Amino acid sequence: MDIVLLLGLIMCVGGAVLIRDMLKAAISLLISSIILGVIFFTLHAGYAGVFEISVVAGLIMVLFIMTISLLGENVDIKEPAIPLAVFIVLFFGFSAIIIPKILCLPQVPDKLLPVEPLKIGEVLWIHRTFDIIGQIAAIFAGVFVLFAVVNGRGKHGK
Amino acid sequence: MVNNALHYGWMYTYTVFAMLFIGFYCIFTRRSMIRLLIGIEIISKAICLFIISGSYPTNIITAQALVITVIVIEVCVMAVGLGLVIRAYRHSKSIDIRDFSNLKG
Repeated sequence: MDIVLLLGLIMCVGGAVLIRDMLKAAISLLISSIILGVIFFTLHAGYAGVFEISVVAGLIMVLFIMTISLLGENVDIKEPAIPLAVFIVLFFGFSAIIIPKILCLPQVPDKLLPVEPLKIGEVLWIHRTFDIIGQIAAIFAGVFVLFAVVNGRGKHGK
Repeated sequence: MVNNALHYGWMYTYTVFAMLFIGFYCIFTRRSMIRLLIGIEIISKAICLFIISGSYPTNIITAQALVITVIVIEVCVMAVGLGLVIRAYRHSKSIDIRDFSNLKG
């Protein structure tokens, strides 16, 4: 089951890059987000799965499809024919060298692990408070930049 | 001692590397600005999968908190990036990254 999901994930991600039609590529990326959310659920990461499916597969894909619709037919650009085989060879060479070293990393000692499993609320609000502050700051920064970029009329704005 | 987190799933590690390479391939070879954002999105997905699969055997919930933070930042990056794409299209009627070389310092 895991292998099927992972292969589906790689195929959808590859499709998002290789499919020429931009709308179909965005839909392929959407399917890959849903598959990744399901993988998170199988790894017992329910909260991350919910965020992945609702936020990434929902919100970001709405933004992508809206942008593609706004740009219309001008969204398609003739891409250069750079051989994919070069990157495939690089991938296998790199993974043959690096991945065995990653898999041989030292083991995690028990004393570094929490004695009792914490709840996500405790982790976010008590132990990772600065993450919450950073998230709020990032959201505000994104909103202000969007206002400035999309609606702003600068010195040379038309 | 518990098993090393990454011993659990070599297939997850290979998937993460494959996604990283696909994302970098997209960024290095494509000229459309939307394709570049898709490449960034793919790399971000790979990092999220790496964090969650690495934390699975020890079941550390902090990993989920980190992934939630990554997703929120990813949303902001995508929103700003797509806003820039629309602005760039209004500026030069194109989203080809080569058309913006005249904006260099």
